Amino acid sequence: MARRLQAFLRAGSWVVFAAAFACLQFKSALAEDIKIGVLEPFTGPWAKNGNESYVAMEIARDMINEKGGIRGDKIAFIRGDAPDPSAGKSEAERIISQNGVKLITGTYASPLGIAISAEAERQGVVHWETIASADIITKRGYKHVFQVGPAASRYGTAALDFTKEELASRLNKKFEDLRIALLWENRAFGTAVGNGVRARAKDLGVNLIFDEGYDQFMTDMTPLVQKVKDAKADVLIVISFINDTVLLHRKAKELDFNAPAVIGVSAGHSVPDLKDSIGTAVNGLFVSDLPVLVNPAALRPEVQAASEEFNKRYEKVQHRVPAGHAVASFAALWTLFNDVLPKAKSIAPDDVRAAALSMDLPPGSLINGSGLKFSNFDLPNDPKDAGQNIRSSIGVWQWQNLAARQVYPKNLATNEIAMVPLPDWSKR
Amino acid sequence: MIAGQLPAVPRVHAISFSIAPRRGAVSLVEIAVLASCIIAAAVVSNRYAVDIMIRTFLWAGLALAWNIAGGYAGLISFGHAAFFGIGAYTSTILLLNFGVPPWFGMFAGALIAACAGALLTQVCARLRGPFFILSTLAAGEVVRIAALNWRSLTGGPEGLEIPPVPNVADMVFKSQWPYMAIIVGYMLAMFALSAWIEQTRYGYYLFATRDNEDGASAIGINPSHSRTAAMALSAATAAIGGTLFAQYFLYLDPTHVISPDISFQFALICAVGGLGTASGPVFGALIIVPLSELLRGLLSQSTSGLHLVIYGIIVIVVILYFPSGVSGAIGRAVSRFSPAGWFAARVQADKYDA
Amino acid sequence: MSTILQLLVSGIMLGGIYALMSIGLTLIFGVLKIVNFAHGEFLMLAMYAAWAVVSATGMTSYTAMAVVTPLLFCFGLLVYLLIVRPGIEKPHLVVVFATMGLSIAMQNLALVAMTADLRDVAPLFGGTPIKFGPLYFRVELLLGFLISIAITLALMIFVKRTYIGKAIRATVQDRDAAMLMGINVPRLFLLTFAGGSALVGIAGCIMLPLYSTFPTVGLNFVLIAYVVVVLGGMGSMEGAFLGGICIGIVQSLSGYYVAPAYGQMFYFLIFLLVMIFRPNGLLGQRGAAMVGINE
Repeated sequence: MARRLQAFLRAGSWVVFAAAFACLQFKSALAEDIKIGVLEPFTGPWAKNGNESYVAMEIARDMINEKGGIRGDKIAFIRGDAPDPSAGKSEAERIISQNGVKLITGTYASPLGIAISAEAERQGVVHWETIASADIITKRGYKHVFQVGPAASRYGTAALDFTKEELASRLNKKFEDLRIALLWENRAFGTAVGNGVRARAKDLGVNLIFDEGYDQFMTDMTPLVQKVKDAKADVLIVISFINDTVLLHRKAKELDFNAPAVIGVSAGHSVPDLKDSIGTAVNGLFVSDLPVLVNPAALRPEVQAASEEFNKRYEKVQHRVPAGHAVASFAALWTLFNDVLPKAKSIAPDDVRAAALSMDLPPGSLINGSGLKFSNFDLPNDPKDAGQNIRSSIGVWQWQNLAARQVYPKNLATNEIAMVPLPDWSKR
Repeated sequence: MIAGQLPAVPRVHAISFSIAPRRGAVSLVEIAVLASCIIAAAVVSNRYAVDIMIRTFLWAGLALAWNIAGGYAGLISFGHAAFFGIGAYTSTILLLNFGVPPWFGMFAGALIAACAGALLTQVCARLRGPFFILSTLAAGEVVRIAALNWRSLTGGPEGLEIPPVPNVADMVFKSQWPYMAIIVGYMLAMFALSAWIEQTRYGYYLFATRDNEDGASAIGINPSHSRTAAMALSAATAAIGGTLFAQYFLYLDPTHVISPDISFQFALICAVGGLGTASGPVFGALIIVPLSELLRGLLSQSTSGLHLVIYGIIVIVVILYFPSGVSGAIGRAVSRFSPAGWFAARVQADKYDA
Repeated sequence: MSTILQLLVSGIMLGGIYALMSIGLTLIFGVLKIVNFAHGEFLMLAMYAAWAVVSATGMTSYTAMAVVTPLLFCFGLLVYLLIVRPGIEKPHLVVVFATMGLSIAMQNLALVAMTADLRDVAPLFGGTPIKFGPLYFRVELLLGFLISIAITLALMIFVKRTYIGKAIRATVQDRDAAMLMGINVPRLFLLTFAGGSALVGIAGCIMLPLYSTFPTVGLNFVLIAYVVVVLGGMGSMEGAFLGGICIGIVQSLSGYYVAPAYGQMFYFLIFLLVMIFRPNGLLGQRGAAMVGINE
């Protein structure tokens, strides 16, 4: 009796397991729609950026659907939660095999982008990367992987070029004599961008007097700030996430550390929350980032309209202006829906790929001033069909009156550079 | 320490192929269900279903590895992700830099992990309970931070990627089925190893040390030796699982591979399934892995985070109400219906109430 | 010279705050002999509660303590009754995983309810630091440090003088003997868990002006709290205070003189060294680590 029951119960546990899989066979059917898988970190430490990017993507979807979709087909999103690479891969599997999705997009963070794009390639599905920036994503010769945003190395390049062209003269020093300090968080993004800054500094023949990585979950910024303070830098380049950015600037105020110019690179300095956390102390900080709001004159007329519409809708949902990553996520999908997919014969991966490779949009075709042309041996050590957008725009904007104002490059700029050198804390 | 939830002495007679299994043994029924799951997945050829299955079996194998230290020897480690990571990184570094096939590289990783495990046990020899748990957690974090910063070796935070070029020698396949075969093989090997440990003299040394260290010493067992050996074996087998993870997943980064979350997952699977038995970790993996994947799949469409709220609540309920794990609950249900089982349960209960 | 002085002073002050954050944990650890793996989320809840009070009423985060501390006391009571008590007589892994499940649920409940946006309050006096010779420090840091000294002293007196305090010390030393002496141990457990949670409430109010609040904020602090508790010796208030200050100084000096990239590695290494050579912590009860707890 006991044995039979035991066998029965054990088999039962297996049957539950098997039944779970049977459930999987009921696929969700939205027959007419063009289904797109969106993989973003909706939970975990990246949740904020993942959720904001998704709101921006939804706006792009709604705008195209209100216009009647693509050749009459509506766009539908299927969400996948990718808090870490392993979960991302699993969610990509689910979206691709359960929902028959032929195109996936999203990811925000580099480790996610690397893992998910590999999974897409293995299954012959297009991966349309919005902002994950690791250079390696397009260096692997994958045929169906496209990266619309800039590669990580370019964020750093922009920061140094801006220093050379704009800051040096304003600080009354020769570029070569500037004391430039670099602080980077030591996870994937900070490390990759830091490498870009270092390489560019070498090209431009300038020494970094200070080059230090730190843990982004650090709870005490005193040693770091004291160290930079003792280095007496003219220009401080910081690659950070939001929480450590807040702590860094508070600590700088506490220890009365005054750098004549501070350039934050994307992520931490670009989020609108920064002004809620540190108030007017944001004014004067530079941010080398995906542009937020560019000079309308640099955009094609229909893109200008889209930009206005996007900003209006985003503020309505989120009650704050979008950050660079949200704008870039919108831009990447908006161009996909308006430029790429209408050109593709069908949603089949090879047709989408052909359409993407045929794109040759000049700068100003996306709301953040980017163009769209995918690299094909254009960059050093590029494989064939690398799929990196070589016209993605990156620039520098400045916090002025608690808002993001584009100041560099000249053609995208909306405002003049102000507050150089940065006033001491006692006067801010 | 954790004795209360363990069977007094596991009565296991290796792997027996009978319809009605003894505790810890594999029955024909289970093999049939396992096979039919795999066949069903093959017929529908749903990659997601197969993926979850592969993950389930991999986690079952890894949890069995953890269980050798955590269940049999009572060494509750929250730093096993370090061994898992050592296995994954060793074979991958050997493959990428020297072209050593992971088929051999995994044993190199296992060796290093075994040494690390033995060292950790020696270092923490005097610690028990939460002190041991927190020390292993700290040790795991030290390994993670070292891997993150030793960029020339580990590729740092951007991680290492194994080129997805199918090649049997490199253990990279296009189809999921070779992975399924290898990972099911790993799980079965771990199961056989666990079942073997349970019935050898060495296994009895472990149980004795775990349940009553002074008593064990008194009858001539060297607790330090048997503990160190258990941790080394557990670390080595977890490292082999790490290599399989790397080969299946093809991408490694320190933040997510040597993460405390991975260590917690090993222990959680064992705690849910039943600690210190060979079938517990398998049951635990069968529940935890598909549950978390399915919850995420079903509930992440609307509200971010909702699936983890529900997952957390389920974990609390299962842990509190099935404290000896699902396999223990099944065992109790059986006992209630059979006089012999009832008697055995009484004897056991008296023993621990005393 | 002024650099090292600055590092030491900042390290000590922050260490005091780490101590305050860990003191509830050490109390629970010492008396109930369990590790609360949701401690970081208790802190997160306290910070959100303090933020809500401050932004709703406009009072300072220090006066918000009057609301947040009782709130956390009640929350601790609830968690004890629903989650800890059913598991306390079971093997300690049960409570470990029950609290870990609670931690996952709470973290994501915060994400659902509050989104992942950062929450902050305006600094006191516009955030102008106090300048003392070559040294600088924030008003909130100094206040936090002073409050944490006051609380530690008050708790030490409480534990030495009152009946409940004596009962707590007795239970830390030997639960069975305490029970035989007529101490109502189950009631004491309830009070300690709720009281420990209330202390986390105070810590949350102190930390709100210093750190931003978001759903995963607890993760940044929880490992520090464990290290502080074990370093100091379980159940020892003065030990936790000493442990907190040690960690504060180690963090500050290693970040400056070695490399901030290695961040937590140093205090984990120190933790391991202490575990090897002095497993009971700096001021802990002899033999505790060797016997293990919750046999």
